Amino acid sequence: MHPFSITENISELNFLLEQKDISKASRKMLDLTKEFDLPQEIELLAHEVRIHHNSLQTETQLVDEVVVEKCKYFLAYIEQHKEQFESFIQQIDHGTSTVYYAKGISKRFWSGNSPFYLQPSDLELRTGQITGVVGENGNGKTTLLRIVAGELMSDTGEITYPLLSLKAGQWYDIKNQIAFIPQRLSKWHGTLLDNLRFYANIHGIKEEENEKQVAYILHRLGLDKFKHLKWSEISSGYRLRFELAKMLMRRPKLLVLDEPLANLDINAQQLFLQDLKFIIKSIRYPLSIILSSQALHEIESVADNIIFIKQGQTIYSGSQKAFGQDRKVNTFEVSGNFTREQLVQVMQLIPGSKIEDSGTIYFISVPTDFSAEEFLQTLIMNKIPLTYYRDISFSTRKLFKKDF
Amino acid sequence: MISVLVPGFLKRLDAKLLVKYPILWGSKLHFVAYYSLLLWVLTSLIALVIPIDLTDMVGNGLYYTFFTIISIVLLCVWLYRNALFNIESEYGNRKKTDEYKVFFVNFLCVFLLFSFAYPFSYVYNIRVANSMSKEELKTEINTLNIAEPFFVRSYYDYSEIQIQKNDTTIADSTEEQYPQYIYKHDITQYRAWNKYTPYRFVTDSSEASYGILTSKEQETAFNQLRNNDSKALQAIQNCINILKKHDQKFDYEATYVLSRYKSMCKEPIEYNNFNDLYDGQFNGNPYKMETILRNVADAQYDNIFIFMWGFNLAMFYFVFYITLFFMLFKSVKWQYFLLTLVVFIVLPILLFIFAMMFSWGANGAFGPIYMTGILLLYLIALVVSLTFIFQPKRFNGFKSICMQVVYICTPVVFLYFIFYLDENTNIFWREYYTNMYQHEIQAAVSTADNMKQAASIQAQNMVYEADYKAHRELYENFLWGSIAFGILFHISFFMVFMKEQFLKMKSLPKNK
Repeated sequence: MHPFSITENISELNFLLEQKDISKASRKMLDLTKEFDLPQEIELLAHEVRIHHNSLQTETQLVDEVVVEKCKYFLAYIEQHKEQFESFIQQIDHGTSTVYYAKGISKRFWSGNSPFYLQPSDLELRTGQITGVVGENGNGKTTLLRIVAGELMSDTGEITYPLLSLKAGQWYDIKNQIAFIPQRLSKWHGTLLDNLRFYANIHGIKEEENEKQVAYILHRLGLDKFKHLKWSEISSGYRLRFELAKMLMRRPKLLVLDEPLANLDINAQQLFLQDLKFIIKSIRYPLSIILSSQALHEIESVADNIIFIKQGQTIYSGSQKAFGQDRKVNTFEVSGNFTREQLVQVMQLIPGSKIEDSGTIYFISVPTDFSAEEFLQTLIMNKIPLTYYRDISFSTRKLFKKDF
Repeated sequence: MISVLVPGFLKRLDAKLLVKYPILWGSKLHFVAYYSLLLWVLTSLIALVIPIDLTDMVGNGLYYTFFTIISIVLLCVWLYRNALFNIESEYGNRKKTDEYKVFFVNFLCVFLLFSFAYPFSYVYNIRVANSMSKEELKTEINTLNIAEPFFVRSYYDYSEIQIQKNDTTIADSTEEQYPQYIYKHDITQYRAWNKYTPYRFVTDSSEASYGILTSKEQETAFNQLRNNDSKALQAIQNCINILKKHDQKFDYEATYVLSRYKSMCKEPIEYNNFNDLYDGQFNGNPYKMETILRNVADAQYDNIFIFMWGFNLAMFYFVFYITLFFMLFKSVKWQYFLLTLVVFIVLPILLFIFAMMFSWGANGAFGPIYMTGILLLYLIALVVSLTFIFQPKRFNGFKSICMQVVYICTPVVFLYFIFYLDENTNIFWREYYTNMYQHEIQAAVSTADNMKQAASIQAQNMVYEADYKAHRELYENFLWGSIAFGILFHISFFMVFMKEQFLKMKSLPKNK
């Protein structure tokens, strides 16, 4: 079943209106206009709310009641036609489709004076799914993504793009339908708005539709305020969002992102991941996203699938949810104002537990019949002053440990 | 800052093109057209206000240099702006036929940027043409031509008489003795008719030349004047009036000119006797006056360079190749484009050295070796390109360079091939005239021992002559045909085909 839920959207929009959060409400409304064929006057409401929001000087400025009424009217329309939209979703939702399929792809090259070998691996990317590629630096994440994006030739194996219905070799047409955002973004010239309009135009979005789509994406990704600025006038976070906006104009079937979170602060990272979650839910323009990152927990929070690469070898490739189901121990990360001796003393209370000191944090393994709640309770009852705790039993974080 | 210079309507047009016609928007044709129009107006105004010097049309070279510098600066700005937005680099939607639009639009932009010479020359030309009426021009030409013999500006204008010297002294008795001569000029025998007639009227039999006296008519009219002093004086005075009208200095009276002429007619004048000529200032006049009349005639009968076939062909090739190089730059990776430019500079130099080495001591071998080398290099590049076209697997820098060489050379390769054939074979009878005719046929004529045989050889000679002309005409036709075919073939088919190959190569995954 498709992750897009009309009921969920209605309740979310209701909540935002109660909170008078017009910023998010207007985005949600615009999202709905993109997904469904709404009457022109209803679509216009969403744009009017967007224009009103853009005219506000500050986020905290009082919202005009007329605008709230418009939002409510919009919401009422959606609620009234809920069944119609649901049947529409069922009609066009044919489940997920494979966008990219690779069997036995590998790459061998010299990096400086040392050889590197990305060992043969298989990969399947499906619409409606986010795939996260994780691993330490220099282990082959970027190499894998460049092969997926058609930037780098694989030495072995077979690659197909079933959803694109194109033959191998038609690289221009393939690249027309897949979008690759490298870690180091290329500089662009002119204003952000002109670039987006040009980009939309060359990908077939013309005239009024162009203006509408560009206005929508600018608002959706929070780029409104920067639309008349140039490359040198915006921060790296917004440059990345611009790049994402540009790529979305292409309506790609596959979005490849190499270390998109690398230069973003924590808030920008959250916003960006939110954007990805929104993009992947689209029913009208279904796509698959593959991204690499060092921000493991953030990636795991959005990814459906995880690929863990270590020294060129794929250690794990599969569903994020399935990871750790066959584990033999529960693993936790902890740190705080305590000594190793204090921790060892407490852990002696849990039979079969094991402590590993990584310098700033401790990895503690306990038998699987000892739950996270019980573990945490044990630490608290024994007055261990914790400042940080995380259950990594279902996280590929475990794979970063030295014994792996 | 710059946006202040852009009028509102142009900004609105720009915004419209941005969301509707990406090729046009990216080319900035609307800006080029608008500012070119402004520059046309500006250059036309300059042409309207600058002082006209009919004796020195070359003086306008300064303006052309200035316009060319402006054009080059504007071209650089345009190339930069145009290169910023590349549809293919962003894997945008495209149709094969888009390449025709791209070519046309870019060609038009480059042409407009270099077109300032046209309005400037045209307006200036109109001013020159209107400096006198066609009737006035013809009257002045005739007046000056008829009375010119009276002025005796140069002895060479008069018939030469050869007189044998009586006192032949030979310094070296071993030398063969030849009679020695002195040369004198008979001022009564003028021979430089048509001095002031622009060349176009001398050779032209169209209506434009009607009213201009022929040499014979000039001579007849002059002979009538020579026998009538009052008429002669009037004719001379008319000439002086024309010179004065055109600000040409002449400090002598008509009576002086006539009496001087008469005294010079008394006996032939020695070759090296320049004492009786007018001063230097006056000597410059016939040339200057002739220049004035020629310039006005050219202006009146549209004989300016901007309408000349040769200039426009050169302009076409210039614009065509700038457009082609720029389109190539946008179609390939820029690093390999620069390498291709280096190849275009270095390879001919290497080939030159190679040809020099191999033709050392062999007279006339350099040209064929060099020309064959160029042709071979093209063929090698073509074969390497074909290996990519038939098996495009992965990006290859060498093949990219070869394809670029083929792309650039193909529009002129047919022309080069015809030229090569003519230079290195006798297929178009290039050698015939000098070898066959001069040596064999003439030798045959000289050894003929009867009239019948001589006539036969003469007839044979005429057939050869006709054949020779036919072959040379064929060569000319082939030359023009190859120019037209090369351009048409490239624009209609090859350019589009190669663009597909460049894009295929550019989008291929890299090896590392």
